[in-house]
Amino acid sequence: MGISRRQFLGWLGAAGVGATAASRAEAASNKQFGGYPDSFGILHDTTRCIGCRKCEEACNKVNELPVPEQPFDDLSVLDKTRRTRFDVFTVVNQFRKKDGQLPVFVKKQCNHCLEPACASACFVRALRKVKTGAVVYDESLCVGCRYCMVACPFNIPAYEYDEALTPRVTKCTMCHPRIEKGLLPGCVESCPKEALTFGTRERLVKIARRRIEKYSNAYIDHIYGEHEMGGTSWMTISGTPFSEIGMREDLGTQTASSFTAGPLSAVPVVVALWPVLLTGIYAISKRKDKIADEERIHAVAQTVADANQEMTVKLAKMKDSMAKEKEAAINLEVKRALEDAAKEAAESQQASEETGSETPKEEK
Amino acid sequence: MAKRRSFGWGKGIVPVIILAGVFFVIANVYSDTDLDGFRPDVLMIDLPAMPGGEKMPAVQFLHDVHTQRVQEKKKCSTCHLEKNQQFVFKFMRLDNSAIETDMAIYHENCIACHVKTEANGEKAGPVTGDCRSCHKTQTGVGSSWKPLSFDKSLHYRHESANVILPEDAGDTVNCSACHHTYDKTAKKTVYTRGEEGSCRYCHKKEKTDEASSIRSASHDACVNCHQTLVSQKKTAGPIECAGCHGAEEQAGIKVVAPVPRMKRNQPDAVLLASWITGQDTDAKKVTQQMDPVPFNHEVHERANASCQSCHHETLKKCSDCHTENGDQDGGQVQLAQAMHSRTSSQSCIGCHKEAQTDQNCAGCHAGMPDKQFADENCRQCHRLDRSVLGPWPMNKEARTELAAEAVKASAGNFVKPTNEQIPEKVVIDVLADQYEGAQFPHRQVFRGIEARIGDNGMARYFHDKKTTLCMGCHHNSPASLQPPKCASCHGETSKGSLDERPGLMGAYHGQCINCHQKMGIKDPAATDCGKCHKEKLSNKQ
Repeated sequence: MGISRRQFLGWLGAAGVGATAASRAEAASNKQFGGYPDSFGILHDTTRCIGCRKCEEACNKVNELPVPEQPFDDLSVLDKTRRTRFDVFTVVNQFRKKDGQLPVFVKKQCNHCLEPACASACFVRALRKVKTGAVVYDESLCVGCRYCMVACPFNIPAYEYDEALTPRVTKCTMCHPRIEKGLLPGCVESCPKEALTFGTRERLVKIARRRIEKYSNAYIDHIYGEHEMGGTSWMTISGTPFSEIGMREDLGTQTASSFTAGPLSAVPVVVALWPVLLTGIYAISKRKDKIADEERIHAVAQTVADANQEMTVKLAKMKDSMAKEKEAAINLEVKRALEDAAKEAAESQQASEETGSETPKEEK
Repeated sequence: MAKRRSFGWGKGIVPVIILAGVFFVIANVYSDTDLDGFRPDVLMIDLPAMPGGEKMPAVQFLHDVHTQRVQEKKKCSTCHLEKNQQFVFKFMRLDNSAIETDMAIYHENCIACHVKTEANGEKAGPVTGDCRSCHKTQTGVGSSWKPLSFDKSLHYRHESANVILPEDAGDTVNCSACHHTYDKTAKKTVYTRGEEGSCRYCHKKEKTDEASSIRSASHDACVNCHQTLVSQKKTAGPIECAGCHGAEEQAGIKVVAPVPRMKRNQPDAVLLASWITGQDTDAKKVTQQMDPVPFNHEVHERANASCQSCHHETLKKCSDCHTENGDQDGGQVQLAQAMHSRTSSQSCIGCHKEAQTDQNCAGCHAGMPDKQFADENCRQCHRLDRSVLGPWPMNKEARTELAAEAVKASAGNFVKPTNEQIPEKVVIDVLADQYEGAQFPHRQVFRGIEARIGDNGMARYFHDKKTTLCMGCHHNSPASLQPPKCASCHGETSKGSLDERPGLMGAYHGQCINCHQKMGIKDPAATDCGKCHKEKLSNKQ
């Protein structure tokens, strides 16, 4: 007997539950990974941003990106909502408001998640969260699968599609090299309004909370990025509901990796077990076929043999009976012949007696 | 509320109006084209369904169309019955009864009138059998009804009208013509001098056991009175729906400005401090109390639309309901919090905070934290030194006198610094790098802010020191004509800052740009860098 498809899927399901049970227990405990201690972050205060694009300019310069067609002091680019590109790591978008209120400007770049979705999707570890708080990219490892681009809930990583030979995934580096040298990230340094504040993430959360409390009418009571997707190093506060300034509010507070950990933890299991399992299944079914074949051949042979034997027996019986019949017939004929001969002899003797002639004993 | 009044019916009596819980009458008379669009007199006659019965669509009734038709010829009584010489604004009945009865009243009376009118050779509404001519699901007319605000001006015009007479002919004021209180034991309304208040204090949106709804009450009182005066050929207010509830008609209502104060025996000035009115003058307890606030009641009366702006439930004084420790009557809100709540527009601080959102004020005030109490802030209101109080217990007269003196002493104390005290120009160049230093027209900016104070009494009162206005920019350090420089407190960048104070560049730009934005100053634009500090040529290439 083999296994049914249903049974097989059942086992697989059980394996999945086993794998996720561990991470659930972790979530229930009061220990949670809240990012590297003393890692840095940036707080973006949209109520301060005036949309001057100095941050975009600084980013372009610091990262030695190609000079764009429209200069940075051309603010007409704000009329369109933009996203990050392979050669633009950060953009400022403008959101117009009703009734003559001033527009709101929102800077968009990599949010440097505490547990990045991109890194969890990267199977060669080309993307990593490092201790400064930055999510960094190692092009030497990247295989160009672009899973990170699909994984990112903020739609940030871009790809050098124009590069024929060595295309890279590009995104904001949080100026990781500058931070390591003790410098401020380019955008933060250039912001004339201090709409960007750099510091340890812990301090930034405190600053944000204090600002919201001190100016309760000016802010929505929420720090975007404090908990979104398990928290990000780049956080935003705003006086306008986040959904109205192009920021997703449907992300939840769980890390991307917590969604994928269960199924992905099944991968090693699957990878390790499947060959064995499938080979086994194959072998079993193969063996079963072989046995069945043998049995069939044997049965046929047996049947044939049985039939032959029966036939032989029948034949023998038939031969036997035929022989007996023949013998009987012969005997009968012989007897009859003998009787006939005896009768004849008796008649001839009688005749000779009558004639006197004696039948010679010539037969002897 | 409504006062009795004798009605002499002259000509021009208009059959009238509205109702209370239930609506009226008749059918949707004409199909004239001029009845399309929006009207302020649309009533829906919508009796509840009979138990287990089917319900016909509500009848849209155009009241003014009917009043115009019966005017001159008939009385209000065409449709409304009288009780105690007052029309009851229900159709042909004094009160609602069983649904069948009310329905029969509508059907019989509406149709009878339509039949009679038609018999006279006039155009009339639907009759028996034309069910769907009245009971229509779709009607061509929309409602443009607007609530009427009986403001201080309208109040004054009624109060000063010679034709409105007090209940007691010998009375010098006519408050009693409308105002009354409800005597629970006698179960009737009586006039009590000195207890007048907003109709809404008792007549709520919905009818209660003791008072009719505000809708009912105002129609009963206003329309009946206007009707009576009209019948006496005296000047009177509107009796048609549109007169009060039409947008055009409302715009045409005469406004008295400035309007004289209401006569309710309210104080001109009062000392706010619940403890000084009590008998408990235990020294230990008194030392824990705040100094009283000499409160200019008159000024606040003028500045607000109605008494309800502050006195939300009754015209009692605040501390009657908001006791020191909170009470059921005051919604458990303690006195100190009732006066200082930042979120209620009926508290002192809450209302003043709202005023600060004005564009003229927001430049400085929007940048100030919600809660910023310094010693001098408390003193600004609580400024009557308690040493002048006494002897205990103080009587009302003594308190009022003290309050009046204190209020008078503080009137219009806005002081402007002289030109010499304000530097004319400040060059801001400590950060000059990519751009040249900014030539900041310091005195011009100061005078500009000062001009925005204008003759705003509240602003003049609270900016009472030469240095008060300076604090808009030179914040977080003691007020002074020689304040510390920005760079004294703000480091070059915020890096390494232990608190949330911005770096120097953020501080300068924050102060200037935020203020311009809040004050609606569009030039220079926030992103027009060169307008304040020229870009260095070497930088441009």
